[in-house]
Amino acid sequence: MKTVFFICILLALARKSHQASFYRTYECVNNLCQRTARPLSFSELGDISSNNIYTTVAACRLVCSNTAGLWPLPTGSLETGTNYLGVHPSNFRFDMQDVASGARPFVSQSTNIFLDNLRPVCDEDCTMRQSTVMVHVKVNSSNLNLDWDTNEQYTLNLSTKGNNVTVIIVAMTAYGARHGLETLSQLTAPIITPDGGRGLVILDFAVIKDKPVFPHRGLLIDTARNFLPVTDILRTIDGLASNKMNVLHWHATDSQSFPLEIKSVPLMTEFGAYGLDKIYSAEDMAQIVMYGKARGVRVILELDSPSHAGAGWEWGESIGYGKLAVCANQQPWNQFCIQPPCGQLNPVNLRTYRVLRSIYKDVLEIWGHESVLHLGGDEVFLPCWNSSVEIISAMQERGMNRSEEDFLKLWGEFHSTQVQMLDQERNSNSISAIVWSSHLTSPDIIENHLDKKRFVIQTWVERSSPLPRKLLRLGYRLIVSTKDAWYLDHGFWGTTTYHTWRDVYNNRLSRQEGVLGGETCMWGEYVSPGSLDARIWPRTAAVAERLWSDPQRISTADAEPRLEGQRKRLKYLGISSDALAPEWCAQHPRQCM
Amino acid sequence: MVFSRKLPFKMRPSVLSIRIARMAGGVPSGKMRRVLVFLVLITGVLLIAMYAHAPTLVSLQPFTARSFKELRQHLVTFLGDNRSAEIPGVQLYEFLNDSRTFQSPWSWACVAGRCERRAVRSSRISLATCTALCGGSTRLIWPRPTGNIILGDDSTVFHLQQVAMITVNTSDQSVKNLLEHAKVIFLNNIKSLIKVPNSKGRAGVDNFVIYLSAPGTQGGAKLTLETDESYKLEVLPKGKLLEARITAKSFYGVRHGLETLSQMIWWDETAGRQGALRVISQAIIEDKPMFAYRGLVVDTGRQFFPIEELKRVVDGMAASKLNTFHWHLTDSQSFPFDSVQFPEMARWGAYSGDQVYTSEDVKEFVEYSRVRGVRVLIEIDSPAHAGAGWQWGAEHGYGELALCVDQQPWSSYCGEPNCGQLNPINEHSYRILEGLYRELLDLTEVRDIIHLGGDEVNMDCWAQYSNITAAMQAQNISDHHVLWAEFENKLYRRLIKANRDETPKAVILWSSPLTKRPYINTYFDPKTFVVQSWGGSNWPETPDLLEDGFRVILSHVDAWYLDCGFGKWRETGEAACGEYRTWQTVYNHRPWQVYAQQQISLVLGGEAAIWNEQTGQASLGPRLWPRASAFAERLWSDLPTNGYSTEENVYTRLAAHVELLLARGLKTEAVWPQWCSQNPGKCL
Repeated sequence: MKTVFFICILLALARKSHQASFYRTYECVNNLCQRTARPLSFSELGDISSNNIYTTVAACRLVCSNTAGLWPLPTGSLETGTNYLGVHPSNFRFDMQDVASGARPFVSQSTNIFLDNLRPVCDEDCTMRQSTVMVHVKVNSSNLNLDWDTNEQYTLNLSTKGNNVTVIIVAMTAYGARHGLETLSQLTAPIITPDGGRGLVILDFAVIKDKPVFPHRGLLIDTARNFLPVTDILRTIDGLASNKMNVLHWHATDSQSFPLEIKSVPLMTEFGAYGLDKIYSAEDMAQIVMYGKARGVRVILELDSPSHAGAGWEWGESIGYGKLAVCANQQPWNQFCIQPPCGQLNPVNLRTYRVLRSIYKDVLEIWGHESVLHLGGDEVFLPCWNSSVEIISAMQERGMNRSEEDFLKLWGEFHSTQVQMLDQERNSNSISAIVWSSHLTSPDIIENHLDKKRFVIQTWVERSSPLPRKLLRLGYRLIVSTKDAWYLDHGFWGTTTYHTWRDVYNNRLSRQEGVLGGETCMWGEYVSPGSLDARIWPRTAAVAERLWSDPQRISTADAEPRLEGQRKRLKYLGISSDALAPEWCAQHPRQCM
Repeated sequence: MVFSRKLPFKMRPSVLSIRIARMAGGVPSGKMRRVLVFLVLITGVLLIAMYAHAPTLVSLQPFTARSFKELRQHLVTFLGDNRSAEIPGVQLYEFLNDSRTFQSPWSWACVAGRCERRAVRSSRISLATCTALCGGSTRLIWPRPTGNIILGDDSTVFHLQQVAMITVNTSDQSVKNLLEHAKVIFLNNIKSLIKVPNSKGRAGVDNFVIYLSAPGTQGGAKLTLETDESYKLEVLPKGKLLEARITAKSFYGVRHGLETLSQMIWWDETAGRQGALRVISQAIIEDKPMFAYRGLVVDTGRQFFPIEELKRVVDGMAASKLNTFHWHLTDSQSFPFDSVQFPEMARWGAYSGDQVYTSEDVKEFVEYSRVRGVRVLIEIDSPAHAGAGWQWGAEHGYGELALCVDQQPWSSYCGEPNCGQLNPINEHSYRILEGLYRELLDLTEVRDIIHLGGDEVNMDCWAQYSNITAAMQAQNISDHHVLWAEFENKLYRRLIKANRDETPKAVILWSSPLTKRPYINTYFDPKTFVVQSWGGSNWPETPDLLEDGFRVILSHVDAWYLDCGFGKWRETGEAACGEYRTWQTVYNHRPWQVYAQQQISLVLGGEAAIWNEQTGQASLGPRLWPRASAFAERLWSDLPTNGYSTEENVYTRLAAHVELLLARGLKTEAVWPQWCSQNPGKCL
């Protein structure tokens, strides 16, 4: 009697761990995974004889189409198997003997990240253990620089003998190997096991050759309009890595706030931060940079100047440094800037440069002296400078007038001085700086002000604008942020409209030489930590495929089921992306056209 | 006053000397004097040593200790209220001891009814404190009270442990029980404000006693359309005792009063050394809502949201005194309700076995909402917007319960994919609907208001079926609208049975061709039926209904649909409902201004809507807040608007309300850069 009682309890407990009272299944129909109409009961779960019936859409997608559901799509050859095997995250082994010694710690870390990312999919409760996976990684170069010249290509060969899966990832650099591991993780999928538990499977065959179309694949975040906690930034980096994006453009400061700890000039932070709990310490910044690098994501810092600067610069006069910024917080704001609060650095005050140089020194210490800085350089509002007696008289002393040309000269000199200071701090004059397109980058005058060898221009004009083409013709290198497709803040203010993932995906860049790539821009006026993920994702995943693969013949309708799959992968990273459509449509591809 | 990120308790020598001086009773003598002199000397030596090691002013490291000190002396001094400065002057040396210690120079002063940010060297006033005390009777409380408001300029520091809440003059036991929950919720809300637990700031009072009374409240535990939600709140200092009294005629009134009181409490980061709770210490507020029905419709048919996410929505509703969670539980895409009587519904209709609401979930959610002043109104949309979950009829010998399920091309048979419409000539469809409603009404216990759904029926779907045509001919009906009207009336009669034979006071239908003339007058009784009007605000449907004596709930798509603005979610067609409605658009919408005065009493209230085709799980919060808060003030306070511009005090109060929501753990959207919150009036 007692035994029966115990068995009952055990059964009850066992039942409880499988909470669902029914299960959904998917079948592969015309290369698409469709939900089957009939629900399965727990007892029927064991009867699935893998006859084209799958317990998760992810597992179905792995074998149902010839792309294995990969996102972004590989650009070279791609062959994938039609079967999968059960595997457990603890059954992965890595062989790094053929990794160049300088790259070995990096690759070793990449394998840890790979396993960490698998664990939310299937961990302690993961009941499948049948196969082992041996991953051989080969990396030729010890060079760990991550820049526009980094070779990110890789090949991945996956084959199976019995229960032994062998994977060979070959890359020039550690970053290529990292991308290969990212692809490998996408060749796994969760399933529901016959006893209702969670399991993990891996595809049994794949041959993939892959490299990106554009070397600069980025997302801009803005921590000046509204502060974003460090954890949100790290999670965003996880999302970028999952999509093989390689740049996080950090628009850290603006006229609203200056949240960075600058050890040599603490007043910048004290005056500039929104609050003492809204500061990125030097350690925070270092962590973000390291975290990104380990995931193949280069964090590019933007300290916007000479415009979009005011917060943090208010203290000059009180210690006899004069005005470091002019028009700061001036009202009525619409006479001195395009968005409140106003603020523009004072280009005729030498102390402004001195402080800037202190800041650059500090951040280069954290970022590394080789790293590229974004100088900002957009939306200088000339009437602001023109309203400053100090600036006007300094110009007069130099024999300048108050013509537009003179102000542009002042502006151009400001950027040249910045580059000189950076060169001195770096002991090198070969590293470029990035500036936004602006009045100063008009094709007819840009060559008078900005050296094409030293400045990369980030254009933020509409699709229809000829500016990118003209700048390319002049020989400038470009990063493209198409305003009417890749500005993720649109649709919430003024007359802007929201750009759907389809708009984002369909925006194609010129493949002409000089186009380094592009960035989506998550400007922060109307986004909070609470809405950040949904605003960025899945739209930035859509741009990732555009920039990595730049597919020519894939429509959004073709891409949608895979993008739904990528949303689920992001979810395992803790990123809740916005919905593309009712979940019914994700379960029934091509039926919501 | 001392801000150290890593070492909040680090004792500085100068702090110590002041402490020792205090212990010795003002003028130190003997041994104590020697200790003090020694400490002062050591401090001096330390400072000189630091000066000597500091780089010179002209280097690229511009901020030496000396220049820092100079800076502090040169900064504008704000000679304001000095009460929060306990240890003046000490913070001057913070920077020397620990480079990780930041000190904010910013303080806020009330100038002409507006808080202005300025740099000071001591006696900082926090933004929260300034905001709470600046701006007359239009400050702080969201939604703004509609009756007399007297808000004093004095505030006092208190500790959570000093709060006592006592129910008095309340006889109704169920009201008393609810009040016990409300007390816990209130205390948790206050607790959520605390940034430094057990901070040692000196309290201005010994006790803070809150008396709650709801005298003569027969039935005051039940929220109906007649419930008196008014309350009176008084706060009065009595020496070392601070007293608050909330008097109301129902549990709901008292609850709203507590909500208001909680908004008169804030965390003052500049009080004492670590910050402290502060409350306005003198106030009288009389308040009641302009509209009885203040709702939010949330769609769990297009996407599934865990019950915990829905509870967060109710938290936000409670904070702005919304009172109806209209749960659009099911749609043609999914049927997540795991019915006990009809388990097949969820089995066939839920997105997965994990994406269901059990009856326990619903019950728990209803209780959670009730104690926060929110009724849960369930809608199982029919006859259209129903497909998922209804596919099992034929297999069980019940025939087709729903028609056109998942039929393609969808655009011929429904408004959006996937299609589905109940079978109007199958008695089993009615029987099952009755059973589902019975189960849900027993869980919600909301029996006076019932929502039938009833929108967007596609005639072409029904017209395909010859047996439907035959049944119509047998009754001499040629117009499918009549069939539809009969469906609603038949369902209504069944729902009275499902409602334990209680006739509801209001049976709500979404507006549709059926709620237009002549159908509405022919088939529906204005004493029973209420129309939820969701068309454009300048459509004639609402004025017509009012003229015909129907009560309405307003959900105008062009102002109160919070799902709009995210573009089209399908490959073809247009975006469903145009651009994003900003909070200002939501707020400034006052459709009743053009209605005849005698008809306004027919407007029960309004509902903002969040349809979730494009709402990811984590987006629900930011899509709703603070726009639904803006909506809430429109319905509670209905303040006049000045054309399309919104008054500055609305911006300022809303910014403070967003801070409150964030403190309570809600996810909200940013309404502007935080700079604008810190500089009231400067971003308009």
